Amino acid sequence: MLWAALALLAAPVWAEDMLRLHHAELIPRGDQLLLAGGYSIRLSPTLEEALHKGVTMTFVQIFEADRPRDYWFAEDIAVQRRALRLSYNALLRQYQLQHGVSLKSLDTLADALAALGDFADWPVIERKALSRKYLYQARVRMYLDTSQLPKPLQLNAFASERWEMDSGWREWSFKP
Amino acid sequence: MLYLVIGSLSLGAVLVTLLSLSADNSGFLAENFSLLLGLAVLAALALAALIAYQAYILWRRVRAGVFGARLAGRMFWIFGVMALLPGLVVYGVSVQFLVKSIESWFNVRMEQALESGLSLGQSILGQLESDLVKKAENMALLLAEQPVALQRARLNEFRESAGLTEAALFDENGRLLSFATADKAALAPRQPERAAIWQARMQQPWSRTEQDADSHALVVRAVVPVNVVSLTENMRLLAVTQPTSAKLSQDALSVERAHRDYQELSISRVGLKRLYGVSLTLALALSLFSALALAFILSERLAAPLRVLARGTRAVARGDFSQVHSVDSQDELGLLTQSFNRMTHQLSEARRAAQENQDKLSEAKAYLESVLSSVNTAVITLDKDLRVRLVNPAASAILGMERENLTDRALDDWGERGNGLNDFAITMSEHFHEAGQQPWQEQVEFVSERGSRILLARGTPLAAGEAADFALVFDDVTQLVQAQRDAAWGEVARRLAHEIKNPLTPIQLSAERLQLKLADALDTPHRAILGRATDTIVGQVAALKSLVDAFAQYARMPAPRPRAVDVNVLLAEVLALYEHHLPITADLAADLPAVAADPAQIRQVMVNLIKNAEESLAEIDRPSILLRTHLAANGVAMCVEDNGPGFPDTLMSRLFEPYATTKTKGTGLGLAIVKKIVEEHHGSIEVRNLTPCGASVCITLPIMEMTHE
Repeated sequence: MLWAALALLAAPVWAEDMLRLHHAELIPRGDQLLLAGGYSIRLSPTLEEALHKGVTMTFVQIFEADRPRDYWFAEDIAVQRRALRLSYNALLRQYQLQHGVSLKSLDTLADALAALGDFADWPVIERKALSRKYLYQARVRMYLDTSQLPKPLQLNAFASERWEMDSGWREWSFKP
Repeated sequence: MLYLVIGSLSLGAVLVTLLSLSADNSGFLAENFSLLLGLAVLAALALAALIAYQAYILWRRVRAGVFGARLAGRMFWIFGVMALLPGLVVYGVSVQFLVKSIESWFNVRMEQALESGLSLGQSILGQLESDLVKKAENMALLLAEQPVALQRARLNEFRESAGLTEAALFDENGRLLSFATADKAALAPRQPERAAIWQARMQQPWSRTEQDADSHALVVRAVVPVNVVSLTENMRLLAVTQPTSAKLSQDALSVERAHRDYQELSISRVGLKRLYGVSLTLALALSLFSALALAFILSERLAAPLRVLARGTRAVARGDFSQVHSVDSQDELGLLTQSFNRMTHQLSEARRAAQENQDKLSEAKAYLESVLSSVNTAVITLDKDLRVRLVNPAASAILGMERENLTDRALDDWGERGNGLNDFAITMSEHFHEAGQQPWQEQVEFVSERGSRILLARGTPLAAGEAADFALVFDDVTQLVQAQRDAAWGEVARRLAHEIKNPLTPIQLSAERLQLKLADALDTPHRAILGRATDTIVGQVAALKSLVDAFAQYARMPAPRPRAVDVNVLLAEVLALYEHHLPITADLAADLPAVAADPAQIRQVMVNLIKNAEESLAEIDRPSILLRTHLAANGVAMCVEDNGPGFPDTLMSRLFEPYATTKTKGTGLGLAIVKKIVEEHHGSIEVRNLTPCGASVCITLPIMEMTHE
């Protein structure tokens, strides 16, 4: 009844290593389309060190969907954006992933990164906003929001590419 | 420009303040940190560009040699150095201080203390975990002893006896079987983590301390296996939860937070240094650039009055005193400007006074010149070397030379050697040499092409002194002398007429009586002698009488009563008297204007002239007289020409004096009377000899002016 096509476009090289979209899929459930799949994330040594020293890192996931029109700008269907805050608690020796009010404690970095990159059935589109007649474009992006870093680190980040983490946009088309 | 600089200065100050505030890592400023940084850099760059522009302007002015530009440049430079040096010192000290103080935050003891605190917390939490595991294991043993059916029922009882907050029973797949809690409002417990289930299945107790999502308090959880004796039943999992005491939780978390902050600081120390360094550098750059920009403006301000003064000086040099500069400062420059204005004012006054004097002088000079040119007296000024400085028009007219040919020459150089002008000049110069500084007076004769003139010359030194100028003044007194001579002759004539005429009648009567009485008494020869003698006496008396009458007529010439006279008509009347017994012809020009004349007197003139001509022709073979009239420059000319012997040269200068005659007969008064009449008619008379023979006498009478009719 509903299929989603994943069309990965050419992405910037630097982001390929650190933030790589391994899968993205829109799954209908109830009134909504949920985004499933996620990013494979690796942290550069600099970032890992910063994380272990207690720096909270804010990652931003963005989902956008629109309907291209031939002779006009595309019609926006959905723009979703969420911030995920990853930190390390040295006392509990746990990684903590905070999303809104929910706080998840994870024992290993791998678990933490997996949980960070996971879209975790993110409800992104109201199904009634879609029409079967059209073909839609969906795209996702995830990046490290350096402006949320502590100020001195921002200056580090400002001057260094090692702090740069950005998946770039990945786009695919789908038909409801 | 000033507002631009002040604006950028305040903008820079605000930016730097914001930048240093934003280092506190909070709020709006922190979020727009990069923007602030960019703005500050931009402001600094803009200021630098402004300074570059100002420097360029200054450079161009110096190149163009604008007055005050060098001073402005030097002040610009001095201000710049004055701002730069302290700025750099403060900057260096601040950076050093900053780096040192940031480094001093980090030391080993502090780090160790924090690490120790952390591990203390960890060991306490470990202790709590192992306590909880023990409690859970005890509870699991108790539960295991119970029949399966009762396990659920006894769970809460066991929980209470163990003093736990929450206890839950799961099957081996993690499904919730039973749940007991002290908190009535508690929700169903979470499924244990996969790792916990695996560990419990391996008969290993699992424990963990977590942070509660809501309260952030620390909660200790443990999962232990509940082994079942019966083979039909699977093993179960007991999950218990026990919150730590609030105090412990708080302390542990604060230790953790401190540790986290410390670690964060330690990795961001480079960034911190960079942040403060950048802020300081920007502050330095902004203040330095602002100081430079202000320096430019200040130096401009200081140099501006100088420039104004320079402009004023140039204007004064050009002679323009109208430039008055406003004085708006009370400092020395203002005073300078003020005194400059005063000086300009005084200069202008002085120049106006000088101008007035000059005007007066030239007015006086013009007045003097007009006086000099209007008088008929000739005036010539000479310097001490008798060089001619000034010649008035009357002098040039009398001497018959253009003024240009007379001035700026030595008096001796006048004319050509041997001619009348040169003789006159040499005479004058000799008089000056002889008289020295004394005035002198002399009547001299000046001979020129136009005839001889009598000049009364006076020499006077112009002012007493060593090198005095001289003034040579002379009048043409020819007319005066002539008039005196005429008057003298008139007097003589009158006296003679009176004195001679009186005895003539008795003489004549006596002679006639002698003849009448004695004629009969004498014999014939004696009677003849008597008759001849008395005839001679009577004849000579008659001649004497006519002579005396002529003199009387000359002396008592009545004043002419002029009216408009047609010369041709008058001449025709005169001609009618002679044409039958004289060889006289007429050549009369037509259309002559009327002249102002007394016709009787003019007729007498013509009769005299014709008579003279006739007498001169007495011994000529083919005598002829020509009467001509023509229009001359100053009136109508009437000429009587003959082909006689002409006037002898010796007589030429005295022709018009009475008793000057070439004839044996005649009184010599003819031409004198003619001249007198013509002069009284304001006319002129010209006598010249013709070539090859003959004489011409022309009288010119002025044309009657129409207003006199």
